[in-house]
Amino acid sequence: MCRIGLHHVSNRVLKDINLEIKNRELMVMIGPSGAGKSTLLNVIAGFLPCTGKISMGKRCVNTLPPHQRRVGYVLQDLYLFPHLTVEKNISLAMKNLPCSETEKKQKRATVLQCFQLEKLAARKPDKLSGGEKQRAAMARSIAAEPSVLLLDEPFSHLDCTTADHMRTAFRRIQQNLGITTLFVTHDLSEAKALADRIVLMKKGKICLLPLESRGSAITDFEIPERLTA
Amino acid sequence: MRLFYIPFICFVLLVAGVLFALATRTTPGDMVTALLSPETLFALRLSLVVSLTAVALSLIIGLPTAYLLARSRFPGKFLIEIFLDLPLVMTPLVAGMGLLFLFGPELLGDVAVSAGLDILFSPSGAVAAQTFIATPIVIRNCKTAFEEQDYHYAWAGQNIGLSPFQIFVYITLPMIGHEITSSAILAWTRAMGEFGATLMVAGATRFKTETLPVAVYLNITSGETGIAVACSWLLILMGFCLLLLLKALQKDSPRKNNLNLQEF
Repeated sequence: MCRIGLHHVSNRVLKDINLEIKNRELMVMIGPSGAGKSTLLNVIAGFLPCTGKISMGKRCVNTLPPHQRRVGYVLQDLYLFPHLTVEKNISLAMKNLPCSETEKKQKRATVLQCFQLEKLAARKPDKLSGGEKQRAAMARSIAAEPSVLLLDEPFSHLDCTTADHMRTAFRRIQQNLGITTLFVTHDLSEAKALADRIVLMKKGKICLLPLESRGSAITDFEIPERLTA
Repeated sequence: MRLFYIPFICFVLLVAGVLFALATRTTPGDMVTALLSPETLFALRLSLVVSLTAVALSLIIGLPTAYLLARSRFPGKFLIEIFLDLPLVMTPLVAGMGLLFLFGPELLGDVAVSAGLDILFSPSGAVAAQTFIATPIVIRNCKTAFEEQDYHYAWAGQNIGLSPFQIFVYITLPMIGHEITSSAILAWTRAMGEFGATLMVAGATRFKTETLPVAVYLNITSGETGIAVACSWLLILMGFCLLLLLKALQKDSPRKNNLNLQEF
């Protein structure tokens, strides 16, 4: 687990982003559609080019290809591999872990248990509900033991009850694992329920400095005003 | 719209007429004798070995080529694509003549012989000819399948630390398994029926380079209608079974794949 540092990160969408996400922190980024939130995640994951410097811990990752960055990235549409069962999706994520097959088997069992997927392990993604797919996608990302976790509106396709349940479960797992996380959403209530800190992005810029969400003076009215401004 | 039934029925009758003509050419007893003759069995065995080898080679060459064409951009790409499609539209006799000259003594013949490959007028020549004809079918169909695959799956693979090669092997290929199988069946059907190029490169020698189409040719020209018809029926039956398999695969395909049937 490590901190994420962004120093003067720019590209066609992003404008001089400077941001630091602390070790083990869950930072939520909010902003209107087209603000550049997903672009920023894609830049951090290594799928889009940028200028400036991206660091994870002490490593500068700018020149690393995506598969060497150790970034877990849960995309909005999840992209579980449809030809593999839940268990095999997770196993594939452990393929390159430097440990024995026995250890991998134990880790896989732990991940399945952690995300309550034991009974769904043999199912393929098309036989899962929305919430189950969500859990499977997160389990797959965590199974690869990433240094940091990026989530792009992961609960946006779920109904309110399932999304609430998923948020609680995700927060508990994130705290237990202590994994540094950048979570993107446009839902303020979701941001406030999850975040250690919240940042606002608009037109490719971080236009609200990171604010402590818990016990801070953010009101329900303050951010929506800024969002729509 | 009732007028549309006229060409439809005409063509159905034509196909049925061709099959009827072949069926009535020999008696059932003579047909069984011809089917069990050493020459027919040799031709069947050689055809299966040669065509399956050609399909395997077509997949080995075609899959990486299709992937490269689907995922990369470079100047003149469309010209390269047309160039690689040429064997599809080239008359098989011309393709065979080109291969004959290429693997002849003036060009690659000596190199091939020194590498232990006796291509001209041997079963290897038939493999070369059929691979040349079948590979563009694999390239064309698999390229379409690669292009239609959502690149976010590759992203998801990279996010869990898989290298590009691992993604190709564990994600990309299995996800287009139906399309690969369908392409292989189409290529196999084409290879089984290949005659012109095989004749030019491998020649037509009984019990040596005698594939089923060559057996039909040799026997019909020498008046041995029985064996010619028996070999024809074997080709028709195998083609029918492969088409049936192809239909079943397309029905089961999660994406109802868009195979280019026109080259078949």
